[in-house]
Amino acid sequence: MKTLRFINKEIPASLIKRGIAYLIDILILEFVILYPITSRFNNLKNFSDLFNNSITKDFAGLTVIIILLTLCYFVLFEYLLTQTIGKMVFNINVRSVEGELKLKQVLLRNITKPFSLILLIDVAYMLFKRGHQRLFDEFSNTIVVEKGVVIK
Amino acid sequence: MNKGLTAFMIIVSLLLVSFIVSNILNIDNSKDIIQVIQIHGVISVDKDSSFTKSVISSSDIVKQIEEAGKNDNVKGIIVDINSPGGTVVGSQEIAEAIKNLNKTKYAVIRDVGASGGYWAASAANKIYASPVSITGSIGVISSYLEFNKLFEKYGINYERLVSGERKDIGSPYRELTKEEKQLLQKKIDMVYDYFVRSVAENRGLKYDYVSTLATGEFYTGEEAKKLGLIDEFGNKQKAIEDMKKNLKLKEVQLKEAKEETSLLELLSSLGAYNFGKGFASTLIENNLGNKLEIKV
Repeated sequence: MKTLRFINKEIPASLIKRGIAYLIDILILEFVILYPITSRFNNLKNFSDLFNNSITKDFAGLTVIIILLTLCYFVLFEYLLTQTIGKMVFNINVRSVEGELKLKQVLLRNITKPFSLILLIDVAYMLFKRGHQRLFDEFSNTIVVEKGVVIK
Repeated sequence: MNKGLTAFMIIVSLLLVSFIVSNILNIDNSKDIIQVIQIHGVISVDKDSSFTKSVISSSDIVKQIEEAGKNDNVKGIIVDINSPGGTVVGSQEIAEAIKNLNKTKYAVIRDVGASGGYWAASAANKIYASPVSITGSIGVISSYLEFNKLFEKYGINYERLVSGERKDIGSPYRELTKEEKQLLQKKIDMVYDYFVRSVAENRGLKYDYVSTLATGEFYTGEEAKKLGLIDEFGNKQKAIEDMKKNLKLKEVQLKEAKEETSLLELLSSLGAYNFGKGFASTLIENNLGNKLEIKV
């Protein structure tokens, strides 16, 4: 007769946890880190005004800064702590498939984060992939894991 | 370093960068704005082509005015005019947009603010000009060259196939009949009447008074001030200072759309465009420069 063994092991993080963790990160970015910049846009009624308004040429520089800060947030947290604040809430971490997590891997896996349309394609890929890897998770040889119980 | 401290340090560092950058770039969206809108060139509804910069599109200008209207920080606009006029509809569209703008608007006439250019200026709350600026020229013109006799001399016939008696009215290949001349004159008079009425209404003057001035004659700034066609002598800077004073604005951000270099200018500077494009082809493209148009 075989004995069932319960083993604590890292398994791919669930889609829901990853999704909510991402939302938490976006909220922190929007209302804390980028607030000094976005508060200057308070006169714009909607996103398209950013491109239509005759005064908006000056905002182009800030748009680049927003992209860079978004990227820095994800890269710094994941490289130094293997998790962002959102991921900390659910205790999920980024791991390298190759061993130690390298900066270029973190940079590559987060490169789509500031660009919502590309991110959408990137995320859509994970819906059809076992192990819930995004397209750029796969490119960067990384995986997001959580502590789970495996029955053997 | 423990996890919490590292996370705290990252957040603080990024926040600091965000704060410094937003201040260094000096994009204070809470500042009051005076928007300068340029009307430099011949007014048309749309640009004839991307090759020329001398023709300006009323659609572009109306868009700028409407955007200024939507921006709560824009407290007033300065319409910087250097235009001899242009098409009736183009000029009327600009004048209407300025008039409908629910903000303080001053017009500054530079070298020329005549005819359609003056029409646009008249819609502002106040008109500034130099004593030697050219303004006025309130009137309507419609003209074209007629080649009928020239064609006859060379044995070229104009084969007239029309459905609708007046379909080819204004064709350069045949003479206008007396009735057609009267008909065209009537239309031009209607446009003239609308133009004069609009200027009179905009400037708070009587129609009859404006019609006595509206002989098509241009006036210098000095004459125009005596006639009530402009309000003050001054340049753009004076208009800005006056607007700041009248609206009690302390610190303002001046916003001005930058002029773009036209492709023609760019190619001319390289010497290639003039070489490649002959005089004859230019004439053909422009239908011998001979379209029947009504202009102000």
